[in-house]
Amino acid sequence: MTGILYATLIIGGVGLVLAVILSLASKFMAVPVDEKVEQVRACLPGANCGACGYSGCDGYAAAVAAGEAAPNLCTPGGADTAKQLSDLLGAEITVEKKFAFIKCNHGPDKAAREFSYNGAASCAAANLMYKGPLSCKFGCLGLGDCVNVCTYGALKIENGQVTVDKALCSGCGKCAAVCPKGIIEILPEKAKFAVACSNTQKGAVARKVCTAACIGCGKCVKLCPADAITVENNLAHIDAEKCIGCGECAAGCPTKCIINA
Amino acid sequence: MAGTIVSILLAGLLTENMILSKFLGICPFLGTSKKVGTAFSMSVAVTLVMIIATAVTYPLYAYVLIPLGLEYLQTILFILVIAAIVQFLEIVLKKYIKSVYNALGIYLPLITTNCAVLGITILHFTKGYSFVLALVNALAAGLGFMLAMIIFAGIRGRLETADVPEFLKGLPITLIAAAIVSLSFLGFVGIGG
Repeated sequence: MTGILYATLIIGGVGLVLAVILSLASKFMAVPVDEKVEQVRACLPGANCGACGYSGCDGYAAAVAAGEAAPNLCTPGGADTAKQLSDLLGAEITVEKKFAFIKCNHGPDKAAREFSYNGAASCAAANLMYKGPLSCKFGCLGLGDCVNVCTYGALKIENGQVTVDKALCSGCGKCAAVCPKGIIEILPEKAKFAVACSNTQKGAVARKVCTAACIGCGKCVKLCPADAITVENNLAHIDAEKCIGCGECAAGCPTKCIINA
Repeated sequence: MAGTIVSILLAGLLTENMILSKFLGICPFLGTSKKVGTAFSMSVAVTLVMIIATAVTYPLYAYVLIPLGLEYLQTILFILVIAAIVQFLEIVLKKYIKSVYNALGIYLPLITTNCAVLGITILHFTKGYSFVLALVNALAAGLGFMLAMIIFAGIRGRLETADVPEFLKGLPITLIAAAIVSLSFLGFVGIGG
């Protein structure tokens, strides 16, 4: 009987003493932590897995709060944590919402094909093989490397090419980084119209490989009342800062490659 | 006395190496030995905790548990004490020696449940060391841990560029390398009496 009593007393007593020491230590030796770091830390799952590339959740929280790390690197937290973090930081850091825009609109039938590709379902892999099956070497391969990398579920493949759900897109730019063709542009939210083509070949060649290609004719430049459009390397580009959103360019474009962004 | 200390140090480093002979602390051995730098930080942290843990648990066992006949509480009490020490050490380092805290990073909390630390605190008593010799033994074990970690980190650095057969890539070749290193330490048996 006394044996159990002593055992309980010793374990309980040692535990109590250690608890008191630790709580006193954490009180008197507390290091003031940036409030934002604590808020960010609270959103993280606390698995300390290191998948983000930092030395644990604390290290990642400090980097996010300092604006050095993207809010969507936490693998265990997934989309929920990324959403929480971007909400938390959004008001403070992101002045303007942005979204991804695919500068290609070949759809199911507008682009000619050189061969059929049956390899690995990855744009990066397809791009290694003669720059992909499309005759247009600038076009969207539609195999979804960007869809896989998107943590917000904002991208999906429709009719052999990628579409963006603007409501879900955070404009993080991961898709733009992974696209082997480099045809994803991050636009500010106010952008109303954009050129859905990346082909810089001469008009006749571009037209031959895709009926939806920008042929660099310059009609949009003349139509634009705000001087927002320039043509460079046979490809039109709309300056979102100047664009007033009238839609004259989209209505007048002969190949309909200017679309609602 | 001096001879005993030398033999303890030799045993801790070579013949009774914590990792390679006793197979304790395998988790950090495989987990944090990818770079020599991290291996070194981890070993320093482990050595530090081993010595402090010995300093606290030895009197607790010798002057509290043994007189009361409660030796069976050893494991649970030692785990409790070691965990608290590591936490305390983390708080202190964070406050006063920020650079060391940053260098150790995640490794310090990992030591909380490191079996090498628990193992060495228990082994002192099976060997029947006095308090001072126990501290020396803890230091020797820590240095042995460091030796194994740094040797293995170097080997893993070589493995990165080696032409390893496809089916052995990653963990398999790491375990084979660990086994060979462990085997080579077997050759030290007999040194230091």
